[in-house]
Amino acid sequence: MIIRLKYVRINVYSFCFYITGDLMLYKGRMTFVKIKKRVIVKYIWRNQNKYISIGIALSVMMIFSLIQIGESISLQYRTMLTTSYSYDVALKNLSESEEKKVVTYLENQKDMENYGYERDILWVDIPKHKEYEYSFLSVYKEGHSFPAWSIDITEGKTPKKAYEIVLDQEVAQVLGVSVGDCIKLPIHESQKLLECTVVGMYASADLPDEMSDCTWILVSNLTKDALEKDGIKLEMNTTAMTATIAKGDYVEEKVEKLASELRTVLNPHYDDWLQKEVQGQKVTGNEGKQYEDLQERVCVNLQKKDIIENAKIGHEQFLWIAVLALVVAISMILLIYNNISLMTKKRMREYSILRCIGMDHKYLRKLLWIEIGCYAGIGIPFGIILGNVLNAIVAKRIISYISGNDIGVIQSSYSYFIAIGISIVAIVIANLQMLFKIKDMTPIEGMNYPEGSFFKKKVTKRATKRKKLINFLVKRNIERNFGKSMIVVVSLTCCMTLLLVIVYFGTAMRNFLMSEDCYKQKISDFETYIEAESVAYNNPEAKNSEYVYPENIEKDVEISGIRQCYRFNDFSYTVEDGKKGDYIKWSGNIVLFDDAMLQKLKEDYAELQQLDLSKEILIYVSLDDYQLKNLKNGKQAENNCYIDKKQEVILNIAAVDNYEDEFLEKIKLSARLKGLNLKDKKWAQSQNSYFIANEKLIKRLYGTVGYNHILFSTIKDKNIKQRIKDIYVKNVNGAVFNNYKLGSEEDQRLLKGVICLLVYLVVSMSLAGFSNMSNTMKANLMTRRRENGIMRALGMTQKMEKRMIIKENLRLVTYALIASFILGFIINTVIILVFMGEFTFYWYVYIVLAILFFVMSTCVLELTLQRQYQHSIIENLIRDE
Amino acid sequence: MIRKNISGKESNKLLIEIKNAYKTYDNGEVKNQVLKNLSLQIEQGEFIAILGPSGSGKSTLLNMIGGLDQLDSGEIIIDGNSIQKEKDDKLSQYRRKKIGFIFQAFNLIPVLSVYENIVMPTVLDGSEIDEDYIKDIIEQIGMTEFCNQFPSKLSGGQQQRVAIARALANKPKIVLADEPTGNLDTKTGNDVMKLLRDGIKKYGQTLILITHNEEIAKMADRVVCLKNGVLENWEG
Repeated sequence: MIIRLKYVRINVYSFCFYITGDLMLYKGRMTFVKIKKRVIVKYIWRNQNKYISIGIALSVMMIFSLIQIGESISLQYRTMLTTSYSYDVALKNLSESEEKKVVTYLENQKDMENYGYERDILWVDIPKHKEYEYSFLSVYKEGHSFPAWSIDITEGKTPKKAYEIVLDQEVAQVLGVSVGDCIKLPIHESQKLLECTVVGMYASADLPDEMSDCTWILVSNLTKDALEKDGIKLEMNTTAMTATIAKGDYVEEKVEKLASELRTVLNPHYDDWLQKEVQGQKVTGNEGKQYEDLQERVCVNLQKKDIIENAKIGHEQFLWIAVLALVVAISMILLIYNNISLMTKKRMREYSILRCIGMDHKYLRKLLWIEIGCYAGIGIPFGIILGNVLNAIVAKRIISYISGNDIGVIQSSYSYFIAIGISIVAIVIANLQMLFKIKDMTPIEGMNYPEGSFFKKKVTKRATKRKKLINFLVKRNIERNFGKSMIVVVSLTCCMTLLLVIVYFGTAMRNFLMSEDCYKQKISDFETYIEAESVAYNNPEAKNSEYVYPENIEKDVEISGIRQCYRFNDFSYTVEDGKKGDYIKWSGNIVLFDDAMLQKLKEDYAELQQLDLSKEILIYVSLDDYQLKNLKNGKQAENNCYIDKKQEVILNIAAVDNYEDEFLEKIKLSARLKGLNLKDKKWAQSQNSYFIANEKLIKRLYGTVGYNHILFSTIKDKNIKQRIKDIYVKNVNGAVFNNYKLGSEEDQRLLKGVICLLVYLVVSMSLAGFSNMSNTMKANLMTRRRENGIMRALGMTQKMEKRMIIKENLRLVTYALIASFILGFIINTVIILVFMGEFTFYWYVYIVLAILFFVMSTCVLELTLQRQYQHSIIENLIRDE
Repeated sequence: MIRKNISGKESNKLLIEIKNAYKTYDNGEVKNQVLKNLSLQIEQGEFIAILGPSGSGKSTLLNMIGGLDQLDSGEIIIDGNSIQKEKDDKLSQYRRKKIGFIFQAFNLIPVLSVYENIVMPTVLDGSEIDEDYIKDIIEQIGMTEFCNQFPSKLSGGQQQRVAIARALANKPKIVLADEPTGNLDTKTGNDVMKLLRDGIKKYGQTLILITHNEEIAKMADRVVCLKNGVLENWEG
């Protein structure tokens, strides 16, 4: 029968003959099921529908891979949130009386989640304890409640004497000790042993998050003193007490209010000082010191605040990533759907023949389910394997690039279930729909017009002109199978939208993450960077101790191996009414002032009036090299520029000291430090105007020159960066040391990760989109082989036929393109606003992609046609598949 | 071989000349020689019926005349011009202008209405539709009421009538009919044949008909029999 079935394709009668003939041959033993199985096997073998399994596999792979990537990235946030300290306000350096006051205050607060003492820590190793290598030793203060750490002493008593300890009951079990036993615990990274007596056990079920990642051993204050006497110093935690507001949405105002009230509890004058500060009266002298000290002692947990803010932003970002993932999923589902429906449609005539010769719908349904089951059975596991391989090779790298750690890809079981579930649902829906279509179509109609011929519409226009014939046929072909056409359009729209969003996002990110040139500059110019804290000035006269002054800088000479050291300043000050003013920028050679600042300076410093501007170099420019050039060339500047005197000054600068170039160079450097792209002119578009003054002027005004940005270019030496760091961090309070190279590498890693992700999505989406298009076209060519053959027989040239097919598909592509542009524009606008806060319209992305999409589509169509045009007209006329 | 002229007129003009035609189909395993040194001459206005068992090469011969396939060797001259080794565009043009096809399975275009199907060859040719002529044909086949219907709504006989009208629509010199009554019952088959016969008689066209039905074959001016790719005398 298998050999005979080879000829099934030839025509209806021979097919009927062979099937019925076989029935007779099998006689009594023959069952229809046997035939059905053979038919199915033959179908799969003959039709070589590998691409259906491959299509299913690719879709499963994409869905699976995306779920795991999304899950892995979201884990980053979850990890950040769970590993961070969860308290809201920390209090440190509290005296006994202050502690009591705070506890009393907190006890009366209704919405407190918890509060309690932080601890002094000694790391001890716990042998045999498999889960954790070492443990904390914590001072337990009896007499104070410990709601933050509600420990239940389940056995024994609390530690009172020196070297009495209370153990976690689980740890005690592991160690095999009970109350009253003496144990020796090795002190971590020390030769010494802690000899102690177990006086109690506690249950650790309800420990707060930040405490649950290690085991605690409780000791009394006396143990701490005794240890210190023995020369074992406990690691002091910087915080002494913490308070956490009731869980729920993080409200910054609430936390600030708690911190403020706690400060007031510790010092009733705090409110008055704060009031004065708000009114712009700076609290100075002893009061000021106490005020600042109190602010430092009671502080908000900024880490938690940042993480929650980041998580909020992350949530918004994830929402849009989820939207994109949804579009990917729809696209993939449509790929599966399209594959299956095309496979079925191609064989509509054969199914009709089978029905004609007696196969009822139930059998046909079984046949299709079994066949689809076979494809799914191959495709789904293959897709899962591919997905795992892809995740292991690509996704893992993407995630590690983005997150900076090797957390890898999360292998959760539900990603398998979701991917498999989605695919099965898509397969079932596609198959059911096809079955309904087969059922709806009479066998005769299916035999004669497998592609469908049903037109419920009335004929309004007739195809009577050669010129319009192709468009007419295209329209009719699209209309006759409108559902299928729309599926192709939706599928292409999804792919195109994704491509558009990805490419658009990539374009926007390129500027956001700096160009490659900028990286190179950044790395090649300076490897190491010291940044002193920059604060707002109320009074230019005030000296900022956190600036780097010459006395600190002199230490540079101690460091050999510095190739170049460049210093400049960049700070803001506040003008009247507490409004933040424009920035003053200055370097070792140049200082920039704006109008308001100049006015202030003139009032404050009488001698400024006597400055010889041409020699002292005080110039006013708008920070824009275009305007600067205009000024230099004597042209009228666009705005805010003092034309008269300043032009003369700039010309003077340019002629005498060539400061203009230096100024621009340094401003560019400043822009680079901020991570702006120099190719993008935006870096120079400041909202402010600036004055430039030289160091000499600054010295006259302030008596000294301070810097807050110092950059070093160093020779290759492993220790040099550490030496620079040591000197600056020690000498300059508030100095931040940055290793530029490492920073750049980190930026680059992020950029690479994003690029990898984008390329991955672009490639997979393009594959999905174009394979959908190619499949549709192939199926159309298959199902319409006879029709096209008739057309050719009637005199349609091959060129006309090709034009008709390509036009039909390009029309679908155009619909998809229009839809995707509308959808893509909306998503792009929102996504760019969410991620970057500012939307820029890159019109060229749309144009380039539209052209690319059309070119690619035409190529795919042309290639598909080339492959399909291997049959003669006669073959097309007599064969269906 | 029976020879009579359906139009009743003497006609000497040679329209189709097939010389030493050879055609072999190779499916990779078996070579099947369908036409073996076949030569045939058909005059203008002649109605010729080709009989023969399945696989004898009848349809192949028809396809060769229709320019749907090419001979391995030999020559087909239509109206004084050889169609052998013509380019695809020329062959399409030839089919549009000179050939009208009627298939056993009707082969109507499902997305086109009856009227559109009929005028299709004329539209493809880009020539002006002779509305009176088309109307005349449609009336003759009795499909006036069905002009705006789609083929799937028609019966087999009706579809074949549309196919006949389509074959005549562009006033071709040659009408090639491949078992036009094969899918129809005897009565409908006879009706269809009558239509076809009247049509070509009216418009002076040459008809080459493939059939298994000897009764239908007897309606032709001449009957030839094709066996194993070779023409033989018909002894009907």
